[in-house]
Amino acid sequence: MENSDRDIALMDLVKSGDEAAFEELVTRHYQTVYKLAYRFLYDSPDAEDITQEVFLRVYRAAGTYTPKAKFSTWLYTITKNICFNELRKKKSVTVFSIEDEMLPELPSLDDSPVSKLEEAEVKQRVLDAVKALPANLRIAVILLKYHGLSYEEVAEILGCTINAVKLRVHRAKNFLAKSIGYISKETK
Amino acid sequence: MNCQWVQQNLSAYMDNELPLTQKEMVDSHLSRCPLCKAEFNSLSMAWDTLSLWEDKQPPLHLKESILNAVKKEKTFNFMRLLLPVAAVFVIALGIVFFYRVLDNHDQGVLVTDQREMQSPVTVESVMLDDNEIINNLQLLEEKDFYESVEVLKTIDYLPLIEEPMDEKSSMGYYAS
Repeated sequence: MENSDRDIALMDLVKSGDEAAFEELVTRHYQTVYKLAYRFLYDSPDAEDITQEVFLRVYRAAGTYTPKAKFSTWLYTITKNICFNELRKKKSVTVFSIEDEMLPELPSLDDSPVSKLEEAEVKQRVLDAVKALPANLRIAVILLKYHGLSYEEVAEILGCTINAVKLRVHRAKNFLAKSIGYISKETK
Repeated sequence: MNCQWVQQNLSAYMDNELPLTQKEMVDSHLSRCPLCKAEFNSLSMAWDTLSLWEDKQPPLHLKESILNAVKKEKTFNFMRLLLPVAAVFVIALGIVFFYRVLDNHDQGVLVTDQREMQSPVTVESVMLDDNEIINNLQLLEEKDFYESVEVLKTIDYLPLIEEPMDEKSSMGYYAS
């Protein structure tokens, strides 16, 4: 049985009150949810709370769940929504809204080319670069790079078109390349 | 196919998200254009470097925390359903108890009123044990009496009535 079919079958059992089925669903997906939440918020306690909240919502929605898409897509969407809500709570009112995609100023880097840097330094640049991305671009990068999703799946989760995903990913990659130091900041 | 279009689609090309024909066109362009090739290399290296950010494993207790949270939610939902039912039950019980008390009081008053209307007698109720009941009954010999004792035991009290001599009943008591 395909993974996706198994998830749908488990949700059917959860609907009729099967606790073992729910436990299996949690076992299959809690790590994925945690990793997404952690990379997006870069905070472990928050990621734990969000993971718990995601599965509470899955449990509450079990009675009315109808498989319109893959279960994992639905799970990612719930996770993304809760992450964005958490971000809204943390950000002050004066900061740009979640939907804003304006890229921040590039960090100032020393003149050493990336190839000469220690791995730890490059890794730190990667972390800083991803954290600096606007939320909508960051979530797209995380879903594509770290969760191996397609543009179509990302578009479904973010509620936008595939072209919008293409554009976001292009801008994000450009920003990342300049932030890490692979592209000179002077390059257009 | 110009450089601007290629550079705008380099990400999709890297992620294998271009249709086959467009992918082949970009392949061909990159083989001829050093500027776009350099851009492609930079983006590829930056994208590959993201792999340096390793996965963070969730804490060991997380799965159990999730299952416990759901169990609490189930219990809470059950209590939320049970509470109104329990409240209705308690209220109903209260009403039944109230009316029983009221009913017993009214019956006592009614009997008292009836007695007062019928004859000038004083009625006092006393708690009688089995022996006293038997000693005060006149029909000790009758077989039915013993069956009646069981019935009489269910009565909370038997009023002790002082009655005028000419109206004394065969049993000596008026039923309550």
